[in-house]
Amino acid sequence: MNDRTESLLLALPGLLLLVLAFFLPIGQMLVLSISGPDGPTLSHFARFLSDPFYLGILWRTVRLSLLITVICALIGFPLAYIMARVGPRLRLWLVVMVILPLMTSVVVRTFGWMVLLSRSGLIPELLRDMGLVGRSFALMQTEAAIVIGMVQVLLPFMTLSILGVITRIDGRLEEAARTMGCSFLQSFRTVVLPLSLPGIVAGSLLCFTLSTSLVCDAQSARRHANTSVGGIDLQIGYPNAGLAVCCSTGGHIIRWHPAGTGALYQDDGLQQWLSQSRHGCVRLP
Amino acid sequence: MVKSVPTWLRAAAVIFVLVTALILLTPLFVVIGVSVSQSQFIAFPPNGLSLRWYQQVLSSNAYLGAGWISLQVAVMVTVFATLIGGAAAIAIHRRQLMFSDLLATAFLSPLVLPTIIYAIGMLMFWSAVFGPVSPFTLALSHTIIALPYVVRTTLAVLAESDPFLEEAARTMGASRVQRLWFVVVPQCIPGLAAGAFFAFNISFDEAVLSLFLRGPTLTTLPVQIYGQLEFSPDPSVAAVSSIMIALTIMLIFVIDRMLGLTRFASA
Repeated sequence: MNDRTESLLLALPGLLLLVLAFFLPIGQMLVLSISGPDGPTLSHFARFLSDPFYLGILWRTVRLSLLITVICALIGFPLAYIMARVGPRLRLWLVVMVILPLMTSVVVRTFGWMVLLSRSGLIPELLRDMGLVGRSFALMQTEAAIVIGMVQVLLPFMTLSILGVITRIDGRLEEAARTMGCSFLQSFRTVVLPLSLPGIVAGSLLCFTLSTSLVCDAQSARRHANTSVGGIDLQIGYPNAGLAVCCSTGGHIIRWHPAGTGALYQDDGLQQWLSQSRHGCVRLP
Repeated sequence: MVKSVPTWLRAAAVIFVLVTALILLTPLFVVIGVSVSQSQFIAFPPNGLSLRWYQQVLSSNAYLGAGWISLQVAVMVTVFATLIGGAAAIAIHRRQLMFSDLLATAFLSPLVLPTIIYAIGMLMFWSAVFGPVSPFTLALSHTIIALPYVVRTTLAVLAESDPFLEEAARTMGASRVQRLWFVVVPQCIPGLAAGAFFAFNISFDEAVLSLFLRGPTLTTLPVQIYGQLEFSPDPSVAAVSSIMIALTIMLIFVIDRMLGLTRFASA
């Protein structure tokens, strides 16, 4: 046995599992998405891309994901900087604070937001009492709710990506800038910000990728909650074969579609993120 | 060291952190608040203080049954993911395989595919090939989404390990299995342990896959909560949720003990 065989043996159970329980199911969906009653067809894709309803959802997914990514970066960067500069004890508490929502079950989180944001919830009631909004005002199941919920979940990815880079910045650079007469904000802008840019980029890629997939989850959950009976629609289309399966089991009516295109285009981001995070410090420009 | 950060900026930083904490944690506090309420209805701030909903949860067969299933699945997932992911991470770290970059990507790819798409695919595939879903199916699919975390935590630890230790063991005549078991695995333990706790937490909290792969007798705790929320929301949901939050907090601190949370950022 040589080294290579040993490595292969070690990776084999994982590979088998991935192929059997991940790549095959996904592959089957891809095949379904291009198979029609008579041979391979692109008609599902054509239908998806020509249906303004689906295009609208697609656009909304991209738009919301961009918005979420930007908000995450705006909060995550200062937060990561603060984390890097405080003592280890406080840093641990900050990390726990950022990571806790991510690690909590999605149903629990959603329940919390429901109590806060629904029509009879805390925040709409408060706004109503202050006379700022009308009687039927609710925040739950709005785009605002999706954005708030997603930022809450994705912030750790952004913050920790940036934190990894910031902790590696040579502290003397900042000191040098300060001794040369920069104000704190100047050195922050001209030294810390450019040097942590790789972290921001890596974090943003990760956030955007994850949020496109999560927004998809969120929207479908929302649809499902909205219209339990007639709920036709995720942004994912569906040829009739799998429809029956889903109907019978989940009571969900789902039409699916270019899962594949999504997955492929998302892998690009992953690749970049991986190569950057593997080299520890992301290469500086 | 020049330390003069303007006072107003320090104040702004403190306010910024507090506001962020408020937004991030309020939903969780609200859940805990609702759970100790005396009232029949979900209300915040709670009126009255009582533990009756906890009592109700702990005497409810639906919750206890679902909790038991969740626990079984989560334990299976922890074992599978730790063993399989740990071995894979060691293989990836050694970089002897031609395609080890691709391998790393493959193992992390479940992280970026929308769970809902994977859930649909898994359901269709499994029912077509193997028939009805079982707790084992659910455990397998949870393992898939937990693998990236185990691989990542283990790789993080391995990245800081000393490659010469294995070399030394080799020169001293240790066999392959001995080197692996006595030299490499002990070095991985913090990462494996952290990964195991991640895996447990992911499986125990997972809702989307569990929702799709459920059966008449296969309802996990999050799915039970989801159903309860949809049909008859009462504070007992909040009580279960609070128990789950407590469990998560516990796991986070255990993971930190094992590996140090901040190390994932720089891995």
